[in-house]
Amino acid sequence: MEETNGYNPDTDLIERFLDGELTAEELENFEKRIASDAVLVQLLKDRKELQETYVRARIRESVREEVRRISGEDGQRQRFVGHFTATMRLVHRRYAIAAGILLLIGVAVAALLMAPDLRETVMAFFRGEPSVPVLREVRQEYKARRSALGAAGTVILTSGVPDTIIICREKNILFRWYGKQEYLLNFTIMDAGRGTPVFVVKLNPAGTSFLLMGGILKQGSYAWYADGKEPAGHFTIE
Amino acid sequence: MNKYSEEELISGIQNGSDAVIRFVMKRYAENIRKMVADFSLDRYVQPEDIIQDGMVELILNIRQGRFNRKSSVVTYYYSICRFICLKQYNKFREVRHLSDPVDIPDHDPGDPAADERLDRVMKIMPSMKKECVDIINLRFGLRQTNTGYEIAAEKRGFEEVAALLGIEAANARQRFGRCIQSLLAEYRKRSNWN
Repeated sequence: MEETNGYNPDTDLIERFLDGELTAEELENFEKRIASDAVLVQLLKDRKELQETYVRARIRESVREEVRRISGEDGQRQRFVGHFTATMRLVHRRYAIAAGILLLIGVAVAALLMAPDLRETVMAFFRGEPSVPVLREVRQEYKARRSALGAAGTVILTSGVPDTIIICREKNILFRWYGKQEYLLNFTIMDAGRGTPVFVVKLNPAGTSFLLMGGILKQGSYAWYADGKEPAGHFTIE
Repeated sequence: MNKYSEEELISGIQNGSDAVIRFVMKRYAENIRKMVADFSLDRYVQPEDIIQDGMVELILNIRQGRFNRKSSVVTYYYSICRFICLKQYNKFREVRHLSDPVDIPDHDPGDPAADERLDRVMKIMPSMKKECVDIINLRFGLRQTNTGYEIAAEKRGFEEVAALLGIEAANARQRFGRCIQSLLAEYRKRSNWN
């Protein structure tokens, strides 16, 4: 509360008036001023009003303190519980729905990541590659007939750093591989049996590991690209 | 079945019995919490505040003789809490874009201006200096008891106030003058804010 700098002598006059301490002359003057001085009238009104309100407020405050003290820890605990409950209710139903959708997406992504075949198929789809079951079938056929069939032809790419290897028939991309490392690429066209030509790309990163990928080729002319712009070579499946 | 008789409850509340007051507050606490949730007030009001404010009203009404014993004490307490809840509901109605105000049966709106003044003074009180609190309390006839403040006299003269404070009457008059002037200034300033 701020201190008031100037002291209003009317404050003391009012107190003496309220205590009935004014002399007859002072009282007469006071009453005359009351009749004409709106500021004094307001001061007297506020003073009376303040006393009544202050007494009421002080008693109420003391009762409130008493109730708070009696409520004590139990009141505090219930207040915390109430606050927590109210906060939880703030989470509106639509947020719950959104959270449910996110959860479903999360479960789907987790399932995708944990199922290699499914993951590979999805990734292959986005890369325009044959799906995993097709690749698996090709690999199995390749393994089974490997000794009997032999290679129909081999292209060895050793030059440059091929960021993209694309094998395509006309405009249809059959195989696309993205790599950022230098690889020795063995590109082999093989007869997978039953008249089904197969291409197999062997990726040998740094000569340490071996990755086999492949796909079924239909009859026709094919081109392979090292950088995706100009054909690096051609071959024909008859 | 009540643990206390009606007379025991009333006298317990009058005398500030912790056990009685706690008993009454707990009697309907769960119902009041549910009521606050039913009115969707729990975003704005703590149920504990309603429970405590209801008890403050009950104590004041009993101590100041406004409880007419037409109902039991606990029922009266519950209806006070319900009344506070409904008032709060109507207060927050516009904020919450609710359509209709709730009728408050047998609602005596009292004097809203007096309630506003009370609210204003209660906000000023914590910032008052202790020497001002002491002298204003004495001058306004308040007496501190074990249950808080009560009105001991309508008003005390400066001779009596000075004697209670152990100072000269002239000093008491001067100190009170400064304090009441400061309080009045704050009281008026806060009125202008509204």
